[in-house]
Amino acid sequence: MTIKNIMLFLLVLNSFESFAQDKSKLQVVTHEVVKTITNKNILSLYIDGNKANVTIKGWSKQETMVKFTFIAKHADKSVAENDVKSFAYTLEEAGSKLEIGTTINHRKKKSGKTIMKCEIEIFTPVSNDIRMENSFANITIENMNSGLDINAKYGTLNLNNITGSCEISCYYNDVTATNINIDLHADFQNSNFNADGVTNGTYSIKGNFCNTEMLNIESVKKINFKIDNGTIELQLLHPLPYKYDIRTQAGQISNYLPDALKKKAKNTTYEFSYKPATQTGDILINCLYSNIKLK
Amino acid sequence: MKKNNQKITEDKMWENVLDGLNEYSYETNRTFLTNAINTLPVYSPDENIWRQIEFKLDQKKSNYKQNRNRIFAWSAVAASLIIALGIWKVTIHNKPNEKFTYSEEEIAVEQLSEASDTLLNQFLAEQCAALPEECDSPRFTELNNKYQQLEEVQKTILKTLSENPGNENILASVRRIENDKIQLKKQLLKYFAS
Amino acid sequence: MVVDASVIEKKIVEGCIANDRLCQKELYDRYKDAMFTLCIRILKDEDLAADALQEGFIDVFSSIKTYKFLSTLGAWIKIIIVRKAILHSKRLLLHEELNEHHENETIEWSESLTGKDLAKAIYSLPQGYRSVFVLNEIEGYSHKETSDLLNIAEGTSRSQLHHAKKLLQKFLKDYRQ
Repeated sequence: MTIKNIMLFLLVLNSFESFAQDKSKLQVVTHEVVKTITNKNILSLYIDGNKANVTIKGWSKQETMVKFTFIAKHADKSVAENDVKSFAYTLEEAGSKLEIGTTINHRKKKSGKTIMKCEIEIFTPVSNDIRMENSFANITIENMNSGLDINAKYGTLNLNNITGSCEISCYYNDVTATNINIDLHADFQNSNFNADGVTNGTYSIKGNFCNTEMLNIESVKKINFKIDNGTIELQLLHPLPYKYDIRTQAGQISNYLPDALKKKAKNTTYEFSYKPATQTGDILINCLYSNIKLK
Repeated sequence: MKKNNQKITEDKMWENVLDGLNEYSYETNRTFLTNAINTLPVYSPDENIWRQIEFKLDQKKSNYKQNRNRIFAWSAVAASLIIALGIWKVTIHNKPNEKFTYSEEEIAVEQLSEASDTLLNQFLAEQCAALPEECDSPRFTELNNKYQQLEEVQKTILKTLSENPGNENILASVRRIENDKIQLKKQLLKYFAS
Repeated sequence: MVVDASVIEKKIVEGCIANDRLCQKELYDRYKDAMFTLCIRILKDEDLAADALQEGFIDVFSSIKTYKFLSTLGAWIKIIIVRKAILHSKRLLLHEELNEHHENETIEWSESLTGKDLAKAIYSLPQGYRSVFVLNEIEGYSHKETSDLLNIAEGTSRSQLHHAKKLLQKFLKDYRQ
């Protein structure tokens, strides 16, 4: 090994040194608040998560129930008890909109060392639109049939049993989706997208440094991906009579589609396209450095 | 006599064997029923039942509140009398939907210090001076820009972490960005590996 | 991290005592299928079972303060639901005071007996026999407990169970033919 290569090896390794751990016994104080909003005119929720983990579940009741869980952890119980009270929540009705949020009043806090954690659990009518902004948080949305508009950074987003339209913008925020039939417009920067169980819908994703996986696709109306660095994997449950137009400039395309689809295809390392006589959907993928797998 | 005794012992033994066989066949027979019981179908109630339960619980709660209000009304009268006598002051708490709970946890608090990339930047500058054609390629520029961008992002997140100590989600982000930086570093350094 | 199930149940019970709706829902979700199935097995009728389940859970939430963690939470809830189901079946329930002893007579079950067939056979039983069979054979209550729950003599429980098994066997034999 040359001195230069040793140097390169050390340069890759050096960043691991910055992590260290301390073990300590902490007193945990949890404050739970449950509120129910019975106003039937509420049609949408605006949630400013502000580092709170948020779970939203659709239900058939015509009211919204919100549970805030505030947690403060500190070695001194009285400090934890004081600091948990520095959490504040917003629950405001503005016309047909319900605004939900949490904040920390730092002036009320006794210690800068207190570990503060907040969780919001929301049950709302399935048809209510959701608009959310959040960072450093895990977001879960289940059983909704409405419009979702999510802007999330440095966390995770889980979608389960969702129909309707979704506008999602993520930065360092992985997205997993199960059992979906949505019209998705997404911008995924350094965010992976894993979908399993796609029954229908349109999927338009642009992104960079993003791995995209859509498994068990029963049907889709349209897939349109533009992902410059990353991987794309699509698993079709059966050969779909779609127009396939798939390109990557410097990546690989692996095509496991049945022979019927391959026959007319111009299948090279960088390009794959197929246009059947009758088509019921489009799959268009155009990337720079991404590897693409179709099966 | 001896023969008779032997006969009795043989009969007893045979009885035991038969008992054993009966018991075995009873147990086997019992297993068939148990197996069937274990695979009996399970039913789920309609969603509507929970809504009705909730409705009844709400009704109970409001009845309880009404009763409590009545009690409060009498308490208020009593309290005024007590105040009038100048003996007690009464405070009524009304926070039915809030609760505090307490516990203890042993936590490993992760502490992170800002990673320094001076060495890498210095190395890249030296190599680029020697091999400018590598560093001018669009791919190298893209990766390098991305790396510098992540460094800035990481600095901001570490600042956020110092304001929110022990926040697991922030720590996870720092770790993830660190991993991405390592991957980018590897790709960048590949240009100069001999 | 593995969390002890009893710790979670304790938290749920505490929440239910504090009238926390989410905890009440969680408790309901945990036991609804088992309890609804039990109600259907006793009552045969889905609507009656739904009524018993609903009223039973209201009783559970009203009396949860009295639960002292002496038995499992499931067993405690089950007793309440069984009582409610029995109350609903009272009009249909006609227990004959039978005291003949048939316990030594073995009833043969087929090796190929499935849960689905057995369920059909159970629903063919008269109300009284069915309750005793469900409580004794499926839910594991003793004859003493079954007789207390159904307010019948212990001997009646024994003979009802025997008759129930004989009827089940007959049904299954006819069903196969």
